[in-house]
Amino acid sequence: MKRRTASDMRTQLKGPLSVLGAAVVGFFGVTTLHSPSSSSVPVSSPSSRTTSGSTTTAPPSSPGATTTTTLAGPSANVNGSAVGQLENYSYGQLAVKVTITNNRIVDLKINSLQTLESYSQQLEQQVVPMLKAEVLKAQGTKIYAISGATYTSEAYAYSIQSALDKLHFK
Amino acid sequence: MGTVVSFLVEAGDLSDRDVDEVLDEACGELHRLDDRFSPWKVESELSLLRAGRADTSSALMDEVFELCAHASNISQGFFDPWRMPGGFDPTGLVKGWAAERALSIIARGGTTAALVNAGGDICVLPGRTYQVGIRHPLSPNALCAVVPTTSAIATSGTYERGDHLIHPFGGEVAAVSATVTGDRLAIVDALATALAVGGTAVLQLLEAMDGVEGFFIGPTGSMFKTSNMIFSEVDEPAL
Repeated sequence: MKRRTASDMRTQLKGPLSVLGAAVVGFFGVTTLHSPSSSSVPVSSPSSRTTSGSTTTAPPSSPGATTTTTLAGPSANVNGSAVGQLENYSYGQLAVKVTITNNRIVDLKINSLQTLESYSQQLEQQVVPMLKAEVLKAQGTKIYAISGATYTSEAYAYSIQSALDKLHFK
Repeated sequence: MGTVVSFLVEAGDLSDRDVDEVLDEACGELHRLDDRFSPWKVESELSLLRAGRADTSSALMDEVFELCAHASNISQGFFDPWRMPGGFDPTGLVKGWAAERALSIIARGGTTAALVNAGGDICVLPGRTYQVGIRHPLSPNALCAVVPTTSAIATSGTYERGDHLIHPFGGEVAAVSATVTGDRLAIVDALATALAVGGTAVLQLLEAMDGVEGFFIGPTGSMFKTSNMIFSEVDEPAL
């Protein structure tokens, strides 16, 4: 297989790919946020929150724990970015930054992430490459997506929801 | 445990409205599949089936059965949704399969370049190479590799929320992070789970498969890969 360098990629892509949609779906899970263009935002109530390490066979959240909030119509044009509140996950805390343009989530990223001391200490034993985003960017390597078990999606979704609240995006 | 699904679509000649429509359709499909296959929704077809309350299965469920049987077979049981506590649980395959279906919908909308990322399980339309970063299992802000991806890639790990993988044969889970690339995301997704659980035993199986490559990182930080696993060359910064 022919390897492509970052510069090959750039010439190969005629127009820039843009993130045109990001949906938080409660895929096989308890927490659901529709894409902003959808008509409803079901969100699990805080009572279904877990802070311990969950497993794929965790007990179901009660269906009654889901509430539905109707989104404002397209007339209420929401634009902007907001950082959600820090939420606990198994190894620390995270906060998500949400950017909305014309009522559509165009970017979601983890704005801050704090890991527990014991977790960070394991790093010293590692020999696996440690590639930082800034370094990759400086090298011109365009990363299109990240593969990896995502940080506990409940904490992620709660932080997204609080960011959406800050934007008065309901 | 919701999953964030993000879409990368090249609009090209499509209008914003066209793109919106096709994304809404793709999201709608994901929600319908979630309604059907969620083990957490008591009235999902999967839950009814697990509870012995279903007499027949839908065509979609049959398709998932078949894919699960295939994945279980080629992974020699290291991926086995029938051995999950609580009954048949195809979650390790359905997320990737659903992402594939969402990508098909987007492709039918007329775009030539698109990527669907379902919580780290990624499939792309063929024809381009996308650099995909693999999250470092022990450092959330760093990557451990960059993989040129032309079809599908999935990573399974035990670092997300503690040990959420089940070893079907009762042993220790072998990897803190396992990545598999291949043509079909449904299968790649299942194989990533199998590789995380089985480690070198599964890596040897992948070695023999056409068009499938993979690597995993063991608990002590050593990395093992199939011989044709390709990484993008990036300079590792001096620590």
